[in-house]
Amino acid sequence: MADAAPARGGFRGGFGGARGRGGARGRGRGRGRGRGRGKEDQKEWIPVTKLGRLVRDGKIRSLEEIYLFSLPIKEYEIIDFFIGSALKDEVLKIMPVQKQTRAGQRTRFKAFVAIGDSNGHIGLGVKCSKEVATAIRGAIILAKLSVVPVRRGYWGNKIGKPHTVPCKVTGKCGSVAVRLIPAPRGTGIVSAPVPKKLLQMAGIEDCYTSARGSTGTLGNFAKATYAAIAKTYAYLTPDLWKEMPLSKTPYQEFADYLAKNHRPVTGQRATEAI
Amino acid sequence: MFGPLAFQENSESNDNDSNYETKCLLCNDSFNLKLCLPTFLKHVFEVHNLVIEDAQNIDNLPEYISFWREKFAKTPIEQIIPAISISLTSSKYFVLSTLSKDDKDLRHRLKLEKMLQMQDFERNDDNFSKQCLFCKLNFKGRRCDYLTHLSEDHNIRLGNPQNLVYIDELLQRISEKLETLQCLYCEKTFPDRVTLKEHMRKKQHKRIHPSNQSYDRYYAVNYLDPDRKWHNIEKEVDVDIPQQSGTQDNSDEEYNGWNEADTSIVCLFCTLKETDINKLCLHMTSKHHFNFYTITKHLDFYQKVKFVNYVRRQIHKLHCIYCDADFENNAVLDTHMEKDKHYCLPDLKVFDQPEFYFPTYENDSFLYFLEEIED
Repeated sequence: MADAAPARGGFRGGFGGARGRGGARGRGRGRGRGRGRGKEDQKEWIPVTKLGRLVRDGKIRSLEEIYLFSLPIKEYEIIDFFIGSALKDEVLKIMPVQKQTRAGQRTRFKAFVAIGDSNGHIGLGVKCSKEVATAIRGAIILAKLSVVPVRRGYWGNKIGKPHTVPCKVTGKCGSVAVRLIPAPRGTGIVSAPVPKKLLQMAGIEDCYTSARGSTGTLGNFAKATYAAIAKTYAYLTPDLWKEMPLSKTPYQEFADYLAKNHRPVTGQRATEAI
Repeated sequence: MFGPLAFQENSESNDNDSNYETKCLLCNDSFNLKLCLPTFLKHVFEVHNLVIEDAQNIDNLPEYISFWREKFAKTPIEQIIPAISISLTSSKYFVLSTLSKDDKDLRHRLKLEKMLQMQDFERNDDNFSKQCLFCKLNFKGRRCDYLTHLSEDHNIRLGNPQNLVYIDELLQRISEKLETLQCLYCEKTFPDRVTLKEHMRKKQHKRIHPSNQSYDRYYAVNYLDPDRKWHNIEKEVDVDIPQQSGTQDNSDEEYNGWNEADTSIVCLFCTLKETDINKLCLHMTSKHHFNFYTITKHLDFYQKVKFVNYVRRQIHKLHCIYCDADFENNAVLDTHMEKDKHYCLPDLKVFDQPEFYFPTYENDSFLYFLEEIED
């Protein structure tokens, strides 16, 4: 389901919203947030970080420029700005969990969401909440914040587009370790269902996998696969040995622009109450 | 050659009548809980003096019974379940009801799991088709898109589709209400459809009344707690007790808890399934005299993959893996390979071919654990 306005529970207020008839309208029946008139939300992003400011004002041309400097991305709108239209999210699981709060044991819904554009970006998020829709929405935001680039390579001949992992990579989470191994074109993804979904969303067409540990713990299995996929750009292969001149980080390059236009916002960004 | 092959997923075929075969909680008699529920209840009443309160409304009764079966195996029933004596018959009857905390929690958990299963199905099912309640649109696709159409184009506000469950039933109820010309919100009846539509539009009654509890079951939030409905849950403020390590959002610890059955792996030569690759290799060594580890020790990863796919194909075609002789069925094939000691590695160029890079079976889990095989 696309993460556009409907997911926010934004309903078009009846008659242009002019008649605010009764507070009961936006309330109850487990509707999530009854705010917003829908589509205008997308234009209202006010960045709070310097990076957000630069992205919004078009100073940064692509997501890859941010990845080049390993800058932490704290606003999910940055990801939306560059690849939002291509991103597809998928709910892997909704499960009930017992949370310990001051009032005692409370059951809540935990949502596992994977997000990817099937062309080189993958993210994974987990969020807990009272309502299923809120949990899913929160997990989608966290998944977007965790989006990493995926490096693809060739198994043998370097003809056509890259289709498999460039080398053997391993990721670990909890007791589960997942190893991705390059496969020839046409093999497809040889793995259990959960990692297969992640690899497909990352844009890897062919891959063998090798799993160790309790693969029944699917949450850890998913995170381990994500960690392995993220490692593809961490691994220094010989074709990357060439020395490249250091370039300025966006903060340096646009320092005066930021000094003029960016007023740092004090205090935490208001997160949605659960 | 042959079409795509796949191993049958054992646990996926839910809701067969056979899945309801369960052993009684206090003895070893087996009953089909779907087809013969009254027989089962009669049995426990007469033989074990046990009454299960409201048995027909328990979700997933087989799991409920297995839970208690395990409990009664460890502790005698007298110690955990309350009993009532009826003076006429002067015998005690045990009552399994929500008075016992374990029972209440269990019934609630089963209900919640069933609801989530249904919601998961409804979220992913693409084959939903229904005509719109208000316009001539014949809809086909996902339920959440149908509900979005209702809310955007007709202003029927039922809530975020992701919060809803048992959607087919809910839509059925709504369409019945409209057909009998009753307003959805205030439930007054109107003389004709036009008046009804005008009323619902003017009074903004194109939604469900929040206090109408009969609609509670369609909203997932009401399944969180057996005693509290959404009004009270909304008021709860989730102030978490901070954990020791200060777990942040999306950290590794958050991924715990989602557990399902381990993947089952099928033996290369017979139909035995195991969840651990090394146990399976022990089986192959003892039953088929085929020690996978030692036989394939000198092969690299890709050659091992090719070998497994080669063996799978040979066995599927009922050919011997060593001499390629043809046989009528698995039993004869097995006898031959054992007698002639053909449970061994053929010549490298027999299986080291590019065609064996591709898995013979689409979900062959043997390939997922190749590197974990130990001596």
